[in-house]
Amino acid sequence: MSRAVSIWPASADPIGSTKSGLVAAGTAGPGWARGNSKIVNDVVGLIVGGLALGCVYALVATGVVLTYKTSAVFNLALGAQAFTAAAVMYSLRNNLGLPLILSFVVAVLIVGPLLGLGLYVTLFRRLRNVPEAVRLVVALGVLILLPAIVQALWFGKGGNRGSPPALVLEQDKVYAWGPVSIPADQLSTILFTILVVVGLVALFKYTNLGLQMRAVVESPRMVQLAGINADRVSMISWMLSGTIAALGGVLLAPLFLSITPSNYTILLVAAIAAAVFGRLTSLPLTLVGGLALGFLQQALSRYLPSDSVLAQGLRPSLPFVVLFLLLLFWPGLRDRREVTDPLAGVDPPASSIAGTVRASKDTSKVLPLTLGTVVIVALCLLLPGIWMYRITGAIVLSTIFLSFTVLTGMAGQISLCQAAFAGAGAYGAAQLANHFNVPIMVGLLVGGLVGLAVGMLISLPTLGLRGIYLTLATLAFTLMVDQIVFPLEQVGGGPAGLEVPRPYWSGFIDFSDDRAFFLLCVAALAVAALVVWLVRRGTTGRFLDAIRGSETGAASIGINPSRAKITAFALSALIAGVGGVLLSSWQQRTSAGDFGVGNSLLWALVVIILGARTIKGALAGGFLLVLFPELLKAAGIPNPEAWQGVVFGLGTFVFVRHPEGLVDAIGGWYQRHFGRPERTTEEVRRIVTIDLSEPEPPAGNGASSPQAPYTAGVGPLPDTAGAVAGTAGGGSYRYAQAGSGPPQPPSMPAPPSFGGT
Amino acid sequence: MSQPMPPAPGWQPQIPMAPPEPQIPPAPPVPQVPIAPPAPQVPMPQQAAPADPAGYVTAPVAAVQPGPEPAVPLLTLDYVSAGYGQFRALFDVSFAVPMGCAVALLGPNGAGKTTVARVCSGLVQPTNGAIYLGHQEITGMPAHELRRLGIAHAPEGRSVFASLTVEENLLLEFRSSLGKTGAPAALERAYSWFPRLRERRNQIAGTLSGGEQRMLSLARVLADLPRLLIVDELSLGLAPIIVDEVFETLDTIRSQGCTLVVIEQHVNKALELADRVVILQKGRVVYDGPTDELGDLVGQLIPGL
Amino acid sequence: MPLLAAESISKHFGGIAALVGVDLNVEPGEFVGLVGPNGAGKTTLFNCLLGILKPNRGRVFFRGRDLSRMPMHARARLGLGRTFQRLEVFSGMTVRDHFLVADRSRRKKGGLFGDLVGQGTPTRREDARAEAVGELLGLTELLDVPVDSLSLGHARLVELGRAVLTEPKLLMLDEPSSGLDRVETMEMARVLQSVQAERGTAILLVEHDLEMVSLVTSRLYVLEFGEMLATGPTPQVLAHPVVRRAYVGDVA
Repeated sequence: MSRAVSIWPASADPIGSTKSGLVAAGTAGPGWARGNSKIVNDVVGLIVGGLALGCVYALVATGVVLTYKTSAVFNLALGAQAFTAAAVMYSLRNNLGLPLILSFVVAVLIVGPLLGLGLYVTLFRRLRNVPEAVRLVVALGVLILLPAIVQALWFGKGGNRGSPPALVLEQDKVYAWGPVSIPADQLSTILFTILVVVGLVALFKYTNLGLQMRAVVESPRMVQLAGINADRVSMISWMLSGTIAALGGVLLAPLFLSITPSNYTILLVAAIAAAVFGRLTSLPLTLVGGLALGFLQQALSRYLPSDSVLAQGLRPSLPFVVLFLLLLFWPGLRDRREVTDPLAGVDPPASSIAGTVRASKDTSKVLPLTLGTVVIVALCLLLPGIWMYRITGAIVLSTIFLSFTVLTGMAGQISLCQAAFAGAGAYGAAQLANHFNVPIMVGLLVGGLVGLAVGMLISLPTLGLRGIYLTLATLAFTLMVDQIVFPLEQVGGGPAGLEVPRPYWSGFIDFSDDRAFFLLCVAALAVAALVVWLVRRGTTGRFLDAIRGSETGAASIGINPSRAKITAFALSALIAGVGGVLLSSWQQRTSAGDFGVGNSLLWALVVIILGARTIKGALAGGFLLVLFPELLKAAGIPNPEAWQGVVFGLGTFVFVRHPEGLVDAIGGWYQRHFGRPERTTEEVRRIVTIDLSEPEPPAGNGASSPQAPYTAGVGPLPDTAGAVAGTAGGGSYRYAQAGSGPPQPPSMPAPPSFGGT
Repeated sequence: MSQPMPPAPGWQPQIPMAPPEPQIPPAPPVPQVPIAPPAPQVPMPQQAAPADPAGYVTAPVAAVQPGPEPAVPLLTLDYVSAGYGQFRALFDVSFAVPMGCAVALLGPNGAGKTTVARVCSGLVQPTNGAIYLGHQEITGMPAHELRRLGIAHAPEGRSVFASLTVEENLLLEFRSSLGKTGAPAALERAYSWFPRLRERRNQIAGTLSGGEQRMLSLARVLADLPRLLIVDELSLGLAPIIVDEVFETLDTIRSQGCTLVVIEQHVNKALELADRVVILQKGRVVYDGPTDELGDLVGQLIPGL
Repeated sequence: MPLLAAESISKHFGGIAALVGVDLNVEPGEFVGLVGPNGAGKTTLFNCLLGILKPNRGRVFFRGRDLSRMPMHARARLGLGRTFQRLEVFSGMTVRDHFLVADRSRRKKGGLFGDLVGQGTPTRREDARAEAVGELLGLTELLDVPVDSLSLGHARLVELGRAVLTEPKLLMLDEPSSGLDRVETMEMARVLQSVQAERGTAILLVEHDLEMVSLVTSRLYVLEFGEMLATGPTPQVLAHPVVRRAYVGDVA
């Protein structure tokens, strides 16, 4: 049951394969050091090897910079695009035996751009006016969706017909100049990278298209006003970045010897680190960053003793550590403000992930809700054991997911490290139970506090980071913790994992029975939900709403944004920590990978797609994530985990239309079709307008001066200028109606239409 | 304008080839009285005909089809309704912009003026109704195609690319309308009118002052004069003295054959400039006619004036 | 001691001098205006006064304390309220919630613990305070409307009310009439006058609309090319030929 919630279908443990991949690249890869003079060749091999790896990093990093520069999307999906291209290349070349050139053309020059174009047309085109967080979630969805599709459809358990093909005409040829010898595959990698980077720099600097690309990112509408087809420019830039990602993916494959999604996650994170080094704008700096990372990784794998714990963890996770440190210390990222689009108001804004949910003062629903819950809980007790066990799991996950409701739904921050908080709590409680016989009931509290401590640890240094950078920091943090800390014997119990007992305390309290444990979990969920509900209605919730609305505005009335954000992080981590203890206690054991990066990403995706704003969304997420794989298994579908990834990834397409979350969207739809009519915002607005509309002009004089004291209309914000004028139109149009008579024919110099009586 | 214009800080002399003819008599003391020339009921293409020394007007004006009937307005809105998402901002708006005229679009905040401007330039698509440019129906055409047909729109607020340099802002516009060959000449023209922009050609536009940004957005449309220029709150946030000069510039380009649709908070200034007035209230046209027939209705239709 | 005192502020960006030795004082309860042509350095001075920009020379004191190293929320707590030229309202929240949040921020409420024991819901007193400000600003009917659906004029008033509820000693307003039509501008002027009269708040107003400036302010500073051109009682300053030539032009 421990892998109930995994997203990496091919390799159950993403990190395991990662390690082997990178170690292979570092030590046993083809041609890393060939020659006699050991020291010279060591250095040369190091440089050449680092150069090749760094070039691949730099290549994908330029793709990241390109999409960010030209469409303001931080495209996490580039990792998945690279993976897909590599998988296509492998299938064509190794499995079908097509010629190398043909395979390359199809994988890099056809699949690459088409994938980029497809993503733009189906998803990212509509995301112009949404908050950056929404775009990020969509990219995350694609990052999970594409590999799942590839693996569900044909790439099954990865390729096994020889190592991935290198982009060279003659395999295993080595070019040598004196002491320097470069294997052909690495030479081609270097040449391709130079070609791409020089080409892109020239594009941005000297061509009109490059200028248009830079303008489109700021305001596509204004670009249109300059007579330029903005949509076409965006399409081209997505096709270009898709091609670059595909090229990077195909070049990376032979370095890693195997093609797995996790390898490409490492590639992605390394590329992000390089892009962040270039501050997401400078291509030359990005190139330098990618190369430096390649060298560093190469040097580490060569000179660190391979058996030290530090080396074991640090070597493969170097990109994560570097990314995290860059985010914390690299100048120019803090308090970075994006240039806003002055014409953003032309297109109606979409709803956002986070939202103000102010419970009404109506308390009539409380009693039925409570009674209904009690009845359902009682009915669950009658279920057969295995189903009650599963439902318990769903409830535990829902509890963890409430931590998203606080952090994402209220504070508007997208965190990809909730699993790390949960894991910290779980391992803390488990170690205490195993070594000091501390009962799990106490462990629940301790677990919550450990989670909280970790939450503070991550939130304090990242305070100055906004939106996307904060999310990247949490991603890097998860990867680091997952790679370096959790595998430690003293933390996660090593490969064997840890036994976690059910809560039991000397006969007085005994939750070891599944039914009793179920009730405990229900109670925990109820408490967590109550806390979330109270906080959202309370001052903290309102302050967070205010900060989300305008951080500057909130600070201008004395609200300390940092303090509010830390509070949200701490509360969220506390809930996640408690939930983590319950999760491990539910499984009665925990192993590395339970709280890994895969779950972190999947959890965030599922909760946010279903709705991070509401408690309902968290509940739906918990139940879906536990019960859906069971349904797939019951239906006898092969490779159910890949299909699960496909389904959740496809949820992205729904999310694009309903960033407020599926649960809210369905609720709204139900309300519109079957529910008691409720006053929508527009209706309230209209009512107000009617109340305020100017007094009727005296009869007989249609042209009397409207003395309306400042009620000219409950009009709109400047952005949506005129937007509300229509709905606000409950007011008087008497002048027009009295005066203009029948509408005039269009094409004539119209006579004064006023007072045409 | 009764007293000599002092040299304006920051606002350089406009188009040098402007004919010095005193189009507007010295302003009478009461600003409410319209002082624009009699409303031209007939389009005035002949005014546009003489090519100016720099020869920059010729291209767009030559593109205006003479048409069999000279009375065809340049732009016609025919029962246009439009909105944003669920909101309807315009209800059956109909009016025509005769060729060579300046039309002031007035009305209180939220009346839908900006939406009309956006509909005319293709930024917002009407949900109902039709728009014509001369004889050609342009309903549903995207903004970039309308720009190529000669409709330029200087939107409200900051309307420069803040992350590009001054020169890149200009080049973006000129290259798309004039091609790579015509762009350098247009750039030179823009700089000769606004020397301040030449000084700052390599500065990032976002760091310009508000007045300089307005200058830049004007320079973008002026160096390649469109058939129809829609300006939305061009004077917003400008010092009074600069507002005057902006209006003089508009007057000059009108006299060179460019048709104008002007949205302004400075109602009196707009009335001085405009030949015709369209007044909107809550998304509907409540007045459409020549400026001089407006009389004191303006005080009743535009509260607070 | 003046409430706000700026002493010989100089600021340059690169080689360009934006401000050269500018002095500015605001006494308690005073209504002061600051005008000047575009590019004269008004925004720069405003940001220096708020401590957002650090001047190259000179210092800014508010109630005897140096503002420059203080984060914005601390300045607000000290009694410096402000509004924004580009709206900074809390989208999604109602007008009443704007006022409630400001009120609670001033009374230093906001603890997690208070929420958990059920003190989060607004009390009758808090409602009364919000409604009082709503009435002062003429927003009574709009209190429960989401701020996103308000007109620009109303939204500016909401920002003002939000600032007023933090009971500032000094309100700094950045072009509050920008984007408003005549009616709305005059309403804004009326509200500002009553805020100053009823609450004794000093106001520093940066504004282009000379009609509004001459209506509400009692003292005026005119800035040109980064230097203070004139200061004194508003009518005299506006009538001064030098000011008229530099700024007003032919508009009286």
